[in-house]
Amino acid sequence: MNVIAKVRAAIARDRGMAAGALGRKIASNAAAAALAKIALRACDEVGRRARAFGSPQIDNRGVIVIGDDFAVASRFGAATLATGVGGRLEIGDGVVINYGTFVRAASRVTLGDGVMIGPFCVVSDADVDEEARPIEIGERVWLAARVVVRPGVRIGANAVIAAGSVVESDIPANAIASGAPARVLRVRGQIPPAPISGVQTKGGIREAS
Amino acid sequence: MRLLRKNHLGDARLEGRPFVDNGGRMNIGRDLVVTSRPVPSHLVTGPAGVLTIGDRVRIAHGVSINAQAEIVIGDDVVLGPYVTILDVDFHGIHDRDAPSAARPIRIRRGVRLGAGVVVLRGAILGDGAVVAANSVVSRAVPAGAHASGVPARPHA
Repeated sequence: MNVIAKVRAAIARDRGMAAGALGRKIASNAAAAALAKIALRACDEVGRRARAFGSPQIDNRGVIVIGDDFAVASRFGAATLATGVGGRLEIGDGVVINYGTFVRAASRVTLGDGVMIGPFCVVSDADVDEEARPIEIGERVWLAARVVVRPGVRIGANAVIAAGSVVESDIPANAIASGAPARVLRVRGQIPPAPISGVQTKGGIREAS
Repeated sequence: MRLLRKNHLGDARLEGRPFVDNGGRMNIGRDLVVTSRPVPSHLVTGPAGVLTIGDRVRIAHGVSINAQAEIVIGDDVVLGPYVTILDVDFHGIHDRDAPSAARPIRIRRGVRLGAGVVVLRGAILGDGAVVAANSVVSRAVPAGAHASGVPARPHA
């Protein structure tokens, strides 16, 4: 997405915002864009228009590659990107990581384009003294707050993992999963396996209003 | 109760400095304690958001409260470290660019939330309910119940 399209989308979204709040938001984004160059300097490659809201902890002993439009927040706890020796962390375009989140690649962790990670998540491909098993998170996956992704897990494109879940096994594309360990509640476009809160419509499942 | 101005938490006792962004309204009761060390707690209201906190509420560090509709926290409530209370998902489940509807949260008198508990939109916790650490509350927890798990279920 180019800068003009981004600004246009932002104007449409923030039309109702008070002038002061909007000003603060613009200022914080500008500061984040400037800070990103310093805060992410330990990464091997960083795409264009990266933003860092507060300083993340970058502990890079392997390779960290980040795509365009990356955003990382550290306002209430530093986000951490870490690689072990020989580890590779690949982050696609348009990835957003919220504060307090810990991402570590001892072997390989891949975050697809448009992945969104909420606050205080843990994505680590190795436990202490255990062999690392790569993690693969598909395009446009959304991890909500406090999600833990265990080593060796693959999450398919467009999946949504609900808050507080612990993902121990693979999650298919388009799934909505929740729980500890996480179970698939439903897959978008399919009839749900069991009645759950929500309204079924012709086009699929919709949230209960 | 008094209506608060921005960045002003009444006669609250503050340990460290919380982050307060009051775009709506905050009503804070007496003797609130907010801890912000080592990680700041933050209280945020959106333009239409109302956050009401009763008397003698204790908020540990790293707590996140974000009211886009309404969050009511009763008297004598205790929130453990890193508790997250959000009455909005910020993104639609099916279309992440769509806004998410906010639904009010009610946390009644004497509720205790353990460390890392997440309270999602529409949740109601009855008087004296206790929720175990790292649970996720997305529905109603009856008064006096002990609940745990993801999602939290009450048990004896």
